[in-house]
Amino acid sequence: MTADPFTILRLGRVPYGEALELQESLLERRQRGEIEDTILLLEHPHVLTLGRRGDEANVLADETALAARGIEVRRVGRGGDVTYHGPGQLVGYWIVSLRRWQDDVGRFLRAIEETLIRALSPFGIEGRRVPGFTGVWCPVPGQPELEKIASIGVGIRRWVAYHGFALNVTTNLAHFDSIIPCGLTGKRMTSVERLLGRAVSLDEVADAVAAVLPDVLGGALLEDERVIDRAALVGTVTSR
Amino acid sequence: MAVSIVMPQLGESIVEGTVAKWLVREGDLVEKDQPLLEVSTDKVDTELPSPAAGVIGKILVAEGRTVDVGTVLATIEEAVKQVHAPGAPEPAPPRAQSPAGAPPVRATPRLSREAIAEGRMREAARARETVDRPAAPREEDRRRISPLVRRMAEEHGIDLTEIRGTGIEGRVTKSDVLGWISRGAPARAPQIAPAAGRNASISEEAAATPAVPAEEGFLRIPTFSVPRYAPQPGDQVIPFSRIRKRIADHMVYSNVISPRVTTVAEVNMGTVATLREAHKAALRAEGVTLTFLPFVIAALTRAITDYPGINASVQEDTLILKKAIHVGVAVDTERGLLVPVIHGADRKGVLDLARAVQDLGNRARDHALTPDDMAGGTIAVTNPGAKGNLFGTPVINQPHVVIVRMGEVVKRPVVVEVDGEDLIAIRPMMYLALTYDHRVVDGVMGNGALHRLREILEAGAFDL
Repeated sequence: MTADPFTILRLGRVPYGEALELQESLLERRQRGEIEDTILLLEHPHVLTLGRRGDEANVLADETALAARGIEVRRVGRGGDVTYHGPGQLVGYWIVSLRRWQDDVGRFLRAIEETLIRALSPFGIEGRRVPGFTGVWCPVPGQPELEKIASIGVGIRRWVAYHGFALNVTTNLAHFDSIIPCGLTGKRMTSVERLLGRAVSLDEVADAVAAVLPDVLGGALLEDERVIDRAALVGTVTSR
Repeated sequence: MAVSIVMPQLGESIVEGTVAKWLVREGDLVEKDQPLLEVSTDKVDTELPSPAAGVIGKILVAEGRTVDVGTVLATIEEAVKQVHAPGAPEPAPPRAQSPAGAPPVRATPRLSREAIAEGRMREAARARETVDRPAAPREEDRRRISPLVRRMAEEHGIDLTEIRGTGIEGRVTKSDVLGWISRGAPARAPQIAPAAGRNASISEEAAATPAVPAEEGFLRIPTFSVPRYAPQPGDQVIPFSRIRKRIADHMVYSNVISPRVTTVAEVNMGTVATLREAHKAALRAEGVTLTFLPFVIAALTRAITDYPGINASVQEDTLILKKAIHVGVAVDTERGLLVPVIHGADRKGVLDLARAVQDLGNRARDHALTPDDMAGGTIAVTNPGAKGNLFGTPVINQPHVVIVRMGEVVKRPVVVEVDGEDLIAIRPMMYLALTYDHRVVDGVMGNGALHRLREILEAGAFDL
């Protein structure tokens, strides 16, 4: 691991399209070396997204019905199949150079998992990896099967990654019924709230993620900023 | 010489990948590092850049197929010279590469065989005139591009379709092009020279084209080399925070884009001071300090009714008069200056404005502003407040066209007329500065608006 520093930007609730535009802008800047590795922490309004491998058949409800519930469907340039984003879910977008992991995307995915597993631990939640099934999985008392608490999907452009993870904190899990999450038939989704039997704020979980990142990334946290002026962010980012 | 494109080793644990999508076709000319195809593995979608410049030979693995790492996916014939064969038309220049791109080798054209076959000869012929002239924009784009922007793009060999427009309906504006040039040009300039060596058709002149247009548009930004800093004991070296950088960029931009004029009025704040004294205690009970600022905001919203031209924004070469009045209020915080917005300020009385000012100020300092608090301002007021502040000339908060700046309210001897007789009296006076963007606000309007503002403040007939 190199000791490249990184920045965390907390964006609050951001419409999917706007966040995507921001990601693409930051991706371009990261590729040009104008900014350091940047991790965005945010929340989306209701949206279903299909990755490049996404199969429309895994969206069970039809689009009109989804639209009626205020859920849009979008196809995006990350790996993975279909997933749901919405209120109560902590989304982390990693605009990072793969060189930290010697251009090994497998190690990169494991680092995202590691971050979430460590961040969940102080809440008393045991996150696990399942070989072959990228994401973070949790044992549930009385259930034979692990349930999935976080989905991961990334895109890589010129060895800079974008997209990242979606961690269910207080997500309304019923929304996952509209899809076959990640194309995995018969897998159940869970959330921090469901596992603990109480609601935890997104900020609290974001703080936990921010706290473990320097260690997982092996680099210094330059800034952890609560962004209030997103429009300006597209135009200006610190160059160092 | 043929170069193989193989399914890359994306990670130790990853043994195969799926060809998700080919981004090029057989026979296409490609540049080094140009994305050729998208590969997907579990959870990862990767664009594969070209290992070399040349022509795509046979594509061996079709979309949707999954193959082992190391499998040859296609071949590239390294044959840059081929397109310059005698008799062949001079190639159209490459589309300006995304600046993210590895060296945009201008001399390596991206015109595919199909493009020539499809009869785009006219374009190719046009391109022969000068290698730096880009292909004509698509017809639907042409409608939305101003002649100035098109000319700038042509001069700098920029493909406007690559630029994301920030203008009305996403149209590409002059500042988008300037931004593109300033971001892309420094990296590109040194790379033109080696490319020229490979392709004699690039002239020395083209390589020497300056990064910023010299004649067109309103702007020419000269370069200046800041003397190198040599560390001295005791100096503090503080890199810009992101907020500081944003403020700096905004201020430089505003300073460059808006020719601003400041006009100053002397305002008798006597009536306002009386009102303030009368309502101070009631607001204090709510934890709100009643300052002169909410009175100035209230007066400004009324002055706008008579001078709507000051509540506006400029987008490229269009003036937009805003119906809603959302007043930005400059707030000093430890991190730097923020300008949160009081929305619908004209629909609020003075006391509500005071509450809003206090609330925004508190939240700005507590890091608790939301994006909505920062968005949508149409005009701004700044109240530096510090003692001894006579008047000043603020920088306009873009894309507004006016900012009002309050001076300190101090008791001064002034000449007043009482019963037809001139007397010297002591009155609380304030120098009030109104700074306007002279691109769109002329002197008559600027001075008129300030005079009206003064009348309203001195009359003191406020809705509380």
